[in-house]
Amino acid sequence: MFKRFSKLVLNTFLILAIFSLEVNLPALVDGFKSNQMSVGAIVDRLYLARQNKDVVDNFGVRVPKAEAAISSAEREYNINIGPITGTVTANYVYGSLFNPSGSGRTISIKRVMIKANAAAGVNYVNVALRRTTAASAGTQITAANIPKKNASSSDSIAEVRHTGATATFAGATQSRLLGSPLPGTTGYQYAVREVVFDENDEKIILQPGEGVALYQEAAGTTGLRISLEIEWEEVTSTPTAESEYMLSFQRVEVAATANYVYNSLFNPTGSGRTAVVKRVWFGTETCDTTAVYTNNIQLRRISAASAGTQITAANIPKKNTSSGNSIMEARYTGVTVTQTGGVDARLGMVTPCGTTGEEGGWNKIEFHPDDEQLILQPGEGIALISETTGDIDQLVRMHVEWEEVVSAPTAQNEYIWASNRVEAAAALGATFYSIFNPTGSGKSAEVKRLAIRVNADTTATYSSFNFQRISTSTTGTLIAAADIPKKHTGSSNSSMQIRWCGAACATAMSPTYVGSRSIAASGLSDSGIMKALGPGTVGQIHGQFEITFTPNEPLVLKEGEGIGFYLNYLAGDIDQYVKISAEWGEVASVPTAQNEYLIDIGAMPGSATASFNYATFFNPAASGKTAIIKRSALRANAIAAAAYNQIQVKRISAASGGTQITAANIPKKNTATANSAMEIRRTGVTATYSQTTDAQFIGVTAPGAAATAAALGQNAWRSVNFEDDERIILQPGEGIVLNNNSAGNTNHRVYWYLEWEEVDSVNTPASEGEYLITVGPITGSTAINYVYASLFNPGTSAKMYVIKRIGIRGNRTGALTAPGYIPITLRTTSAASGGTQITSANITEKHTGTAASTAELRRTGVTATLALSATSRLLSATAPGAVNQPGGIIEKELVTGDELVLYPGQGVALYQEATAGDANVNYYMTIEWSEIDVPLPPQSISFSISDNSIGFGTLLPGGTRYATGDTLGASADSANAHTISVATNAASGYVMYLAGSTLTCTTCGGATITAVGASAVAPSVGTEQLGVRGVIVSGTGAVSAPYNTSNWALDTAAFPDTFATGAGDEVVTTYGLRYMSNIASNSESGSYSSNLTFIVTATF
Amino acid sequence: MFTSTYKQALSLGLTFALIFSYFSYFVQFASAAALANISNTLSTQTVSTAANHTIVFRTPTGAADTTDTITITLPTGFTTNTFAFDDVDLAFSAGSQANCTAPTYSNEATIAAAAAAGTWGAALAGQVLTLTAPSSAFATTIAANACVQIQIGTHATAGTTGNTQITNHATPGSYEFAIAGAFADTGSTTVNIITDSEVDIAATVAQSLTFSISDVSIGFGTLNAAAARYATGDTLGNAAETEAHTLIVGTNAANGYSMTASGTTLTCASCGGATVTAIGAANTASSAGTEQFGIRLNAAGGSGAVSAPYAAAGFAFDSAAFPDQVASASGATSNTTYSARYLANIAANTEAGTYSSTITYVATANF
Repeated sequence: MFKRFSKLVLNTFLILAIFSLEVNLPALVDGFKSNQMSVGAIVDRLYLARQNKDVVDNFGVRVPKAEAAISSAEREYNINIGPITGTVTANYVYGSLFNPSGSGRTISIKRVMIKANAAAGVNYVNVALRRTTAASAGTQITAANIPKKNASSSDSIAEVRHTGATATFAGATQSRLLGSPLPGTTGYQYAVREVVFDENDEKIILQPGEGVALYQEAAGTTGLRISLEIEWEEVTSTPTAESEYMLSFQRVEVAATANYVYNSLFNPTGSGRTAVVKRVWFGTETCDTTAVYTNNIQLRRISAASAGTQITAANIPKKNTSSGNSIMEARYTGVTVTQTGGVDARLGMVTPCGTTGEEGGWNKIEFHPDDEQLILQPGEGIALISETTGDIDQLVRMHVEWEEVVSAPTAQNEYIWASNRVEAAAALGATFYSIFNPTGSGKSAEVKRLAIRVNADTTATYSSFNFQRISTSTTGTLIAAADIPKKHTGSSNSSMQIRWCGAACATAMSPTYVGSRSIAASGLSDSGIMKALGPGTVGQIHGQFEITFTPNEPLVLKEGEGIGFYLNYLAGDIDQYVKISAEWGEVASVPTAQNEYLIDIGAMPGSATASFNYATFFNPAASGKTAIIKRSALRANAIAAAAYNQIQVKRISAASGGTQITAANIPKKNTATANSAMEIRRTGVTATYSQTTDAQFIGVTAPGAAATAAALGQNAWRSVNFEDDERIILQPGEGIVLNNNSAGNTNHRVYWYLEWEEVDSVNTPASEGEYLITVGPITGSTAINYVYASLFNPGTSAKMYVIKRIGIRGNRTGALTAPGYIPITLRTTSAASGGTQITSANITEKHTGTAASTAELRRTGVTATLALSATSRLLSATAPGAVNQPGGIIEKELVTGDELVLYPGQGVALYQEATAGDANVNYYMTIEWSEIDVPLPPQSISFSISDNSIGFGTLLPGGTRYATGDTLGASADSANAHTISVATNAASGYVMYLAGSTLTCTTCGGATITAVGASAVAPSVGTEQLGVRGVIVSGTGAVSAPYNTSNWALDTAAFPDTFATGAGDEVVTTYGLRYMSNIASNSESGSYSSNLTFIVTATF
Repeated sequence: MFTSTYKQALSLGLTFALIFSYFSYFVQFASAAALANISNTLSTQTVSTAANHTIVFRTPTGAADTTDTITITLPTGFTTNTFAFDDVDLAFSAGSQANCTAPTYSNEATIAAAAAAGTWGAALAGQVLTLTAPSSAFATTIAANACVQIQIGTHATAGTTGNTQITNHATPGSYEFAIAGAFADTGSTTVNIITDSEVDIAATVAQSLTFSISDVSIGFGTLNAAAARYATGDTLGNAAETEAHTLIVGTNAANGYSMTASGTTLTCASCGGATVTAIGAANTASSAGTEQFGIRLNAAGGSGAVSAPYAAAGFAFDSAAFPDQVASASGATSNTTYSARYLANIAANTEAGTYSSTITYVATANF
């Protein structure tokens, strides 16, 4: 009662407020949605994927759930073109998507990815995605074979071509939308470039006569396996141009001198525009041979740019060609710039690659749409600069995406800062950096992104690093406030105090850490916020870990609070380059606590014991709370030869033993939040598994050897972020465990990052009906078309599956016997049987309140009928040819709101396209979906009357008259006076009623012609009669009695009288209506009329 | 300043409301059931025309809670005019129904502007009509799977008869009426509005007047002073009253017809214009030995009637009033047959000679 009353009051208040304030309602709704998301609904992005280029993520997708693809009226498509075998032909076009002239539709690309793997030696030639103005030849995938996200949608109008298409490129060679070096040889994974445009981004618009194509800029090799994956929508009206641009700069390979500028993007004074930078990727994409590690490559603000080679404005790619040319000056190769700020004023910084194929020198900054973007006003720019002498073998570039606006956005007091690097054999426990909010600052910091970047230039110690809260920080070298870069130069200087120990860590720092901090040999500081395992050799990237908190609760640093970054496990190594970066906003008021927590458990040494439980996260039965898991990031690394064992995350119903992390030591995002009610345990926990080993949210194969540049060993890095999908809900008595499903190895180092919210259990979110499961591992088959796993929606389910996340994980566990590097592909199916079916009880629900799945989930030798053609790939990976190669891993969240829809009788299956040479490989299929009732089609009812004005002409007492459409009447019953057409899809069909009056003479005293009545009769000359009857012209409806014979009736007493009925079969029934009248000799003369009203009522 | 404070207050309120709404989102455990057999019958589906609505549905959940509401959301474009609770009737069947094809709505709810004990409230806010369950003391609760009928318009006759209808959308098309509310069930039904859902049928009935005289030459034969003579069609006359000829008159004129007689009494052109005296305006019985010339009519069929003074048993011949109405009908009538009788008496001194009279009958329809 109170609830309803409160709602009534609030709704009234809202309505009044809206009208009294002339509130922009759409904006308010958007704000409300945003509020919902930020308060507790949805989460982060997959920044972990940025460290592993094969874990593909939809960055920044935050559009509200719409599941628009459920409507077949939406024209959404998704195709993975490839993998296409490489060629030595220069300028060879691997894939093309083209909107032909006259198509009548506009293509709106929402996600695009290029991915290249090597099955043998390739080279470092640049591959690029560019706009085209014509495309032909090659192999065209027929429209019917272009996968639709909703099979009921119409076929795409796009021309999709591959393997040697002929394309006419727009602009110049520099007009790259995306670019990457090809993988120099097997195992290199840097050649992955993916962009997902969020709801605030302009999409790549292809109007009729426009397209995009992926091609190599010089000769490649046949060792290349390259894919182009695109998700797009087709609309009938061209979206309005939004002045957004996207440019992958010309890559630069020079022996850079100090302060050499590779690329710059500058907004010239007087441009009249402000650039809003949304995405910046920068650094060394890789090295094509051994190079130096010594030159920090930094991204920083500049106040002037000249010289170098300028890309003409016309050649800067627009997302929509209807936009005007960019006003920005894009330059490359030896640009002259004026740097802004001091030496520490870095927006970003990488340690470049120093060895062949290394990808750790590449960094991505993608501003969350909820966060302030990087604002470049006239006279401002950014540049990619080598701080010291570089190396010609470093392939360096910048990729930028920006919008140009007339009015500069208001400064939002956000900052982004990247550290210099520390290169020192620091003592265990040494603090490298701290970010501290001093008492009296008058501000609170909201940390929105944190990143750890530790690289090695040679063999080093596998030490571990950790971010943790601090309560004081007074030592170390203070970065000048003026050198902390602002996202918008209109913001005031930061109030935070950033300190570091110096490049050689010579300045000791002694901040006061909060919570559990262990710098003993075990190194398991339980209050760690973010951790990373330092690299033990060149090329390893597990020392890089990054989290963006937005749109979740940010990490709040109130006055007197901060974070420190320190060496948590083992002594430091001078061969490691230790860096951090952060992004934060500063607000005057203390943010309200949102009851969110985060923890990074580890580094837990591996265990050789099967079913060993590394850690559990358990919600005790009496907690009174429900945990909403928003992110789980598992990272299992190997520091030496180890085991390729299965590690999984699954549900548990009890946990005990091990080491429990005390509630007070569980880090909160806002210290005003109460202590967590969860029981978090680690290291040898006793857990009761809720389901079988099939029921795993996450399943990975751990690396069996330490990583190298060519075998990154990140097969067991698996981050799941629930941003636009249902979170994992853990109610009292429920939990999850991270465990070995088979015997591991002590050389593993396991981390488990968790981020969650706690709500009172009475406020447990309602189930959203989602499932998440990883099927596998399934041992590789040598047979062509072998189906590893399948999800099938049986014809009897009465459910529609909305597929939100799909993933393939292929892991090599032993040596390859050729042939290998074959495509492992996910395609739609029309039937599935056989194999081993996973019971519905073991299909993991995100919320235990969700009903058991209706899906048929199978693995291991499934018999599946693959739909469409072999080129109709939804997702495809190249099976790894060597252990620890992550090339077989690809995962994506489908663009939110445009998910893949499976009707009953449809499914997806993971299969291999060719014969393979051995079984030393295993596969997983990850899939996340919801099951919703097959939506009823929109209600429909159609009703029309062919003629609303008919007549008998002159009635005579001596002969019967029949009404006609020309109103003249006829003396014979030979034609319909008019017709009525009716159709509906209503479940209970329709009824057509008849009402009105008989013929009446208003000019002669209301005289009437007597209606026939309820009994159908034949015409009777000289007797007043008005009668109606109906005939079926076509269709399935039926005329009702008494109007359904050759006689006549008009039962005015029963008005509205049922005249006809029909089923809800959507078949149009056309009724012929006939009217008869007779008069008597004394029937009053005059003009008569009758208004008969026909009413059609559908019963849904 | 006031505006700023006002806005701040509202902002706080909005924030609170949004947060509250957000949290309340989490406590919505009740899952809505789908209504069945949902229909909306309009009295007309013509655009921009006021219509009654009869909405019927079957509720799987029913409504038995004092906090229950039933809402009907009218599509935008349907105008509700001066709606009041009197314009709504709520009725529902007893017990569970398999469908709502022909239920008996045995329970008629009492409706007022606001819910009260035993009384449902009916209120319209914007396009949403909300029926609120009695605050207590349900007369009868709506059972699960009962059929519910909601009438909106002038056919809502329970209590005070409604006087306001809903005006249909001005644009032809399909429009969905959503049904929801705290009673936990939801559904919708769609109606089709068309340019004109009426068929206008025109017909003309032409004017008609029927008038005929069976014999235009009649006679008395030889008159004598001793006894009356009555004219006959064979011109020989008769000593007894008899029909000389008939006149038939019929018309579909709304106002009927009138028939008049005019002419002269019996006149002897060969004997100096001597006449047999007409009876005059008073209906008079035959009187032998006295000059008399008179007419009387009898009517049969149709609705025509003989006018005075020709309608009685005596005779009259009001030549002073000629043309004098002898018959009429007040409305459309089928044929009336008038039987015309003529009387003549002479006196002993009546001039000898050959007498004749020409009487003209005129029938006039009054359309």
